[in-house]
Amino acid sequence: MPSLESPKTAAKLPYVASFQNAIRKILSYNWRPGMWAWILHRLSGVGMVVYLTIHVFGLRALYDPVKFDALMSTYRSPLFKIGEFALLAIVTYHSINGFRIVMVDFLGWSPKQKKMFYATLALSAIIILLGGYPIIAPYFIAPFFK
Amino acid sequence: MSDRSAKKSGAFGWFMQRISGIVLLATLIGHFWVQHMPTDYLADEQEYLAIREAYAAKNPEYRKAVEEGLITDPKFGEHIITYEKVTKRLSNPLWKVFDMLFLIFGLYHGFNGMLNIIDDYAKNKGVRLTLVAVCWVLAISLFVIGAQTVLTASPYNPPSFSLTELLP
Ligand code: HEM
Ligand code: HEM
Repeated sequence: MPSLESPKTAAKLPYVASFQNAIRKILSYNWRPGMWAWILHRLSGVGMVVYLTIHVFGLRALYDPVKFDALMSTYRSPLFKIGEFALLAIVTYHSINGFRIVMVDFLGWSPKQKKMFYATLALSAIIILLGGYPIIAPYFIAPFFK
Repeated sequence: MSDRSAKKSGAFGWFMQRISGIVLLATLIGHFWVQHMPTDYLADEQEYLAIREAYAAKNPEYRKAVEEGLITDPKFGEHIITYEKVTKRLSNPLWKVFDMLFLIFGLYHGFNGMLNIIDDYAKNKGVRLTLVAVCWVLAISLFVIGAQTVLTASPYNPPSFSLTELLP
């Protein structure tokens, strides 16, 4: 018969839900690339659902040229261009990482998940820079060369 | 209500999340190409000014919006999304089909993903039911609104005269 003092049956310290404890708990995780890949995938997915919702509501303006062109004009400001660039980053990461997941699941791509995650990040960075240039250039780069 | 019993194993949702993801990869690349790359689907500076001029001549409200600075000037080297170019592209039914596929798969994939996330975090039955209901209502409204936008988009055809011309 195990005594009550055995570690298995001893009363656990109660977990008190608090901001500090939540932070401590998060920091105590052993963060590995796979977890980053997963949490970033989840966050980028939610971000795109939020964007898509706003996007489809906004596009109702497409029945009237005045409303639509005025809406597009408000999007053509430096602040929105930065937002567009951020959106590109979110979409690119989710797409490439999503593609990696599908290839791992369906085609049994390399079990070297860690390397694949870094490859995903590198490929995302290249696409974000190449694709982001035409978005950013007229607002932040071309003015310097006028 | 037993927990989403129709798909107890979740395998169908898991499978469809991957299939819809691959479809979205194709449509997102197409969408990015059309909305951001300097192709003929966007107006360059000269075209933009010409389009603005033509619309202002046809539509007094458009002119007013330009004068009030609501429809702004083009920047150097900018390629711009305009009503004229978008509706011209969408007058091709294949582009309408493209946008509808994008809308349907995007909403399916996005909200299926949200249901997964709710499954993971919302333990309380009431909270869960509320969140799932919000997702469904939102997804269906977005489908109706988005389908209407795409299907009714058509080139600008002003009436031959405006009622305001009859006023003193
Ligand atoms: C480029 C195309 C895309 C691909 C290849 C892709 C791929 C994937 C895959 C494979 C999953 C499942 C992850 C898993 O089961 O662990 C997933 C989840 C998700 N996706 Fe996408 N996706 C794409 C675009 C989108 C878009 C446009 C949205 C938003 C409208 C979106 C929102 C989500 C959400 C919310 C989840 C759930 C995240 C989770 O359960 O952690 N995705 N995606
Ligand atoms: C800032 C970047 C973006 C711009 C400027 C943009 C612009 C547009 C425009 C002008 C349309 C009108 C229809 C057309 O041109 O064919 C449209 C439609 C659409 N966009 Fe985007 N878009 C962007 C990003 C996205 C992203 C990231 C998604 C996916 C999550 C998306 C999903 C859609 C969908 C589903 C439609 C069809 C809408 C409907 O049925 O009403 N867009 N977009």
